Amino acid sequence: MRLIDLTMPIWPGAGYGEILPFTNTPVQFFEYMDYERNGTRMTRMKLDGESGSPFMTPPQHAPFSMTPLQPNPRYMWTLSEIPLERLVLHDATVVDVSAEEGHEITPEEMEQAIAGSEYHRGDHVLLRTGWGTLERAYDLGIDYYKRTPSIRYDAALLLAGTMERMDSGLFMTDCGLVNPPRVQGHNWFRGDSPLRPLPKPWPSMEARERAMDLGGPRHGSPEPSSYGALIRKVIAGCKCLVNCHQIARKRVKMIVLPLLIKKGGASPCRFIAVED
Amino acid sequence: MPECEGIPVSYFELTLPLDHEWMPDEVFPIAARFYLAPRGHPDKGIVLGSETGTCVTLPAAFREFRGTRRLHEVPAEKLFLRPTVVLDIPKNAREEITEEDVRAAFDQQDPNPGEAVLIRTGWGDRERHKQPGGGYILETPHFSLGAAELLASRMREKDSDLLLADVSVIGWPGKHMIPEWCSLLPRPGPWPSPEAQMYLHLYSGEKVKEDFAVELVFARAGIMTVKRLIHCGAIAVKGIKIIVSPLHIVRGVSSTCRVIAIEEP
Repeated sequence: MRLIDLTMPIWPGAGYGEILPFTNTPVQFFEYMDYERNGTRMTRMKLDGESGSPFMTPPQHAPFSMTPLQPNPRYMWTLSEIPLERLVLHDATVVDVSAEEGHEITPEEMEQAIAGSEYHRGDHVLLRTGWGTLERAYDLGIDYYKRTPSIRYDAALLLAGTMERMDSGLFMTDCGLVNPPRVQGHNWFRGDSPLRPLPKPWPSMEARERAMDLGGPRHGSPEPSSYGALIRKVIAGCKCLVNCHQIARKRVKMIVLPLLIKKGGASPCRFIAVED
Repeated sequence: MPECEGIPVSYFELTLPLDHEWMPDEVFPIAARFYLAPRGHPDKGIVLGSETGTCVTLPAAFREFRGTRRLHEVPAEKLFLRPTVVLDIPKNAREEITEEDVRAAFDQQDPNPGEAVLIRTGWGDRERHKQPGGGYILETPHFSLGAAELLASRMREKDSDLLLADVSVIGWPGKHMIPEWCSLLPRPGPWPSPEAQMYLHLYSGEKVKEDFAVELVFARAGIMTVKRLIHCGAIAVKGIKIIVSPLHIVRGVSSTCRVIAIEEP
């Protein structure tokens, strides 16, 4: 048995917390007990539901709002309601779409990748592009997300439909963002009028102004959301996995454990692939 | 019943839920308040301490061992699907786990080499974590220094470096923190209350060494400890596989974690 850790680590200033105006806020640590004064360490951590490799349910803003990100989702479980058998040692199929920097996966590529996978009914899906590596995440900072491959809306629709037909529960990917960066970061870090220098995320004044302009925390692009297409059909969407290239087989068992936040909607998560 | 490779298995959630309305472990000044803030709030996101709820603590949490392995360096095999022996040491509120208890538990069930050890006192099955007040922390069973020394020594003999327990604290911080903090009435809030900040400002390394003598025994032996497990009573067999899933924190020394037991018939 071989265990492969696919989890994006958490550290202060990590790029995923710095790139978007409100969907993922900065990781901040404060050492309120330290070796020098106290001989031990205790850390107060400010994280976000999307820190690290996140696990995001359709009611992502639970427990404060049970309104799902998209209407009529197949699942409405919160973090504390998901049965363990969906999270522990569940079968997953690896869907391979080797994607270069900035590439947006097309429906044709998605269809071909699904056809080439060993996809069994009920499998979770791990979409592997090869982008997610620890070295890249550590070295590139916010560019890791600006330059990530992503999924075009029509390709996401195709995958979402397949996942519904195959009764799949979890969508996972090693992309930094599921939506194309030009959509997710529209007129923030990409688009017709990106902000320069890039402002800090929420609760910066720029992020607040953006929320005012958009009438709420949305991505602001006129294009539909690829992530939205997927999240309607799954228990949770999971992104920013790393080191998936270490998986040698086309199917693995996955251990997927978000924090056990009572009625929570999203959380940093551990992802371990188990190969026999 | 779920199956793994055709074998039916049972999964048990042993994790204290993170409840944004109230956490039972926010009693001492060393605890950081857990809270969630909704979108639109300046603190949007998750705020928690490194030892909020069920948590794993590495030896590197202490100054003497800060050169040892950190969270992001712990091999997955040490924490995920690790064979584990369950040792029963039933205890009532406020009771100490003694050297004799540890000896008797090992006489009943000798761990296999490399197995993690889960000490089950029954405290985590009494639902005290759901009751108001500080009782979950302040009335917990805990290890005596002698018990810790014997347990650490037995675990080292078995090449075991992971200890789990359904107690709220591993050792009893009775030298300084209990008398000093608990004599403040009404009891102040945890960190970052002004009182907690002042208390920790004066809580020197020497005081920590005395209050955390038991934890230091395990750290000295290179043993990772996991505390605040609940519902261990549901486990029916002595040999299980355990999953300890902390946050993957770069250079972290402790973290809230999720703990799952896997029972294979």
